[in-house]
Amino acid sequence: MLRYIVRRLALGLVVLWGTTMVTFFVARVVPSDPAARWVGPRATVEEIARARQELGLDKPLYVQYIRYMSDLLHGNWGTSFVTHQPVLKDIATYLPASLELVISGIILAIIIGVPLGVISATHKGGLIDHLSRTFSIGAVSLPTFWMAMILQLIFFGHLHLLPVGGRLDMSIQLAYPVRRITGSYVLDSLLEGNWTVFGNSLLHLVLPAVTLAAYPLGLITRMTRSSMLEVLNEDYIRVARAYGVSERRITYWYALKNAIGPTVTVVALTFAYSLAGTFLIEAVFNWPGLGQYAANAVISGDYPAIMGVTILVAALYVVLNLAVDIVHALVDPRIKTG
Amino acid sequence: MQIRNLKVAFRTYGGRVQALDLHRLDVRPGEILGLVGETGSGKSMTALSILRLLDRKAEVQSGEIIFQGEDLLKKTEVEMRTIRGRRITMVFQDPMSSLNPVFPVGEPLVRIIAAHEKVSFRAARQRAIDMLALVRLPSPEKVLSAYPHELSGGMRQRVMIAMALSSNPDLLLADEPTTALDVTIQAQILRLIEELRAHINASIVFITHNLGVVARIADRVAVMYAGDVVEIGSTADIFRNPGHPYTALLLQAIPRLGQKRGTLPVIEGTVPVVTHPQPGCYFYPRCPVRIERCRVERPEAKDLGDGHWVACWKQDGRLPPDNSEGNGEV
Repeated sequence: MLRYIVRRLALGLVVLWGTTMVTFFVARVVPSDPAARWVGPRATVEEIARARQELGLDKPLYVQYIRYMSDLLHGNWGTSFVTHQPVLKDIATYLPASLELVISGIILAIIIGVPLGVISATHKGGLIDHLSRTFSIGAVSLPTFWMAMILQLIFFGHLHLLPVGGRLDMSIQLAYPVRRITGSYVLDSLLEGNWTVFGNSLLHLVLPAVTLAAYPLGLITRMTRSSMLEVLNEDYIRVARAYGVSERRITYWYALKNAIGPTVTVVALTFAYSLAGTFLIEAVFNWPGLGQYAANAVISGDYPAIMGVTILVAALYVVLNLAVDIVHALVDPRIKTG
Repeated sequence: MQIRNLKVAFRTYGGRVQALDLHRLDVRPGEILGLVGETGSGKSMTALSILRLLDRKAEVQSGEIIFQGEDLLKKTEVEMRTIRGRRITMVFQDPMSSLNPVFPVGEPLVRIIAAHEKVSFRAARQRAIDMLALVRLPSPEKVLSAYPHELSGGMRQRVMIAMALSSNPDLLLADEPTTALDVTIQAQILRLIEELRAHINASIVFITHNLGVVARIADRVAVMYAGDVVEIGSTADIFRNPGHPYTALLLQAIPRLGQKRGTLPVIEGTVPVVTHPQPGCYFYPRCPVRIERCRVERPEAKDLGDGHWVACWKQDGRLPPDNSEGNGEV
């Protein structure tokens, strides 16, 4: 098992290297003048030229790439052209907010999606099944920004139940400072026992998390339903029935363990996808996360930031894929690692 | 156990298909009853009906299945659960797919024993080990924690048999338990069942399409055709004096050593799919000795003596003298 993990991680490095290569050159194909942005709006032509030299943007592309890679291997992810901060520091600032959002969204999707898919399968063709299928197709196909706005309209505009955006009320943020431990307000306030901030940050999390959960929820429900349907037709399920095992144990124990594989894959992939792809949700809910940071970086030709976010997400894919395979091997003894 | 006038139909897109129209089937205490017939004749349906495990498309229209004085068809689902796996158990055809691939074989086995015997998991585990030893599995403790894919087909079927016997059932339904196995393994499993007869108090319904197997282990034989039993009697009676032309044709299809080579006789045609129940005998289209009455009137089972019942108007089972021999598989 350990050898397998090491080998997979080594292969993952190759993937990462390929990713840096592609991203580096593709990002530079887009016309943009980062040097001008670096020095600010009122710079002279000479200043811009000097900045270009400082940043190494005057060198041939391959030289720039080799320099970037050598820095990267020494742990230096470069400095953002926009924030003038080390990219790694920027990521450390924005990542926790995104993680908080994505993790809560995915957990919500799992908690609702798996049971819904199971019930849908055990009541195939029934009312619940039809409703859940309509619901899951809707959840997958509705545009997220539209759904975000509709939710705001209802829960903020009409019902005045939930905040429209942000991670905390400004007044609370000023009156109750929270020590930064994980970077997630919900977790940090919980660890500190700061109930005012905890409650307020939780309220702020509801709408963005629900919006984010929609897509994975639809996928998880459909995936769970179809693999459950397959498993419930297997002989060993009938054998379990023939031995008087209760339907509930058959469904949630003997069948679900067989059917959970594809769902695990979907969860892992949507997780990685959501982390960088939540730009629209973050924009609508004014959530200062990685998606916004990445989108800004692309718009302003902030090469080091683009590279940083890409490498991070690619690494996440590598690790999650490995995790999925390990989970599969743990669930199903027929799958051999190595 | 007695089955009377059991009618089961399937709803299909092409309409209703009469899968079972079983007039009479008795299983005596402690006997092995061989249930034989072609594919689609309703053997497995009969077993699944007894356990009430037919799938949703099947519908029991009428009849009764009396087991120890009670009609199983009138039981609630909860009552059935206390009967299934405890008083009536079943061994299925394919041991490869009968065991859950992601659990060690002991998981369901121990859990089922614990639930039915109302004992602790530790006691259930010991009982499971004893049962695995009883079915001659080497190092039963290892087998208990092995996953199905680590066992051979024969070993898996032994596990299934151990599971079926663990509750000391009154009735064991064995649905072609040797069909999916290699010939040598088949022989081993049959030997095991013969050896275990002393330990088993249960009646066994042994479903098969292999007449050789029936001749070897069954006390009585019931022959099914198109959803009904056409002949039932002691194994000796059935093999020596078949009363139904279908039985006689089946027996002729067994190849024998020492006979001159040639093509084995076959029974022309296939088992009919009954979408529109007819008044006559279902075997009429394939029957070599049919008479006009067979077409218009369904033959009722008649007792030829010694519990040998035949549903045929002619009842002597004598065939026109043109057939020779067959291959033993229906």
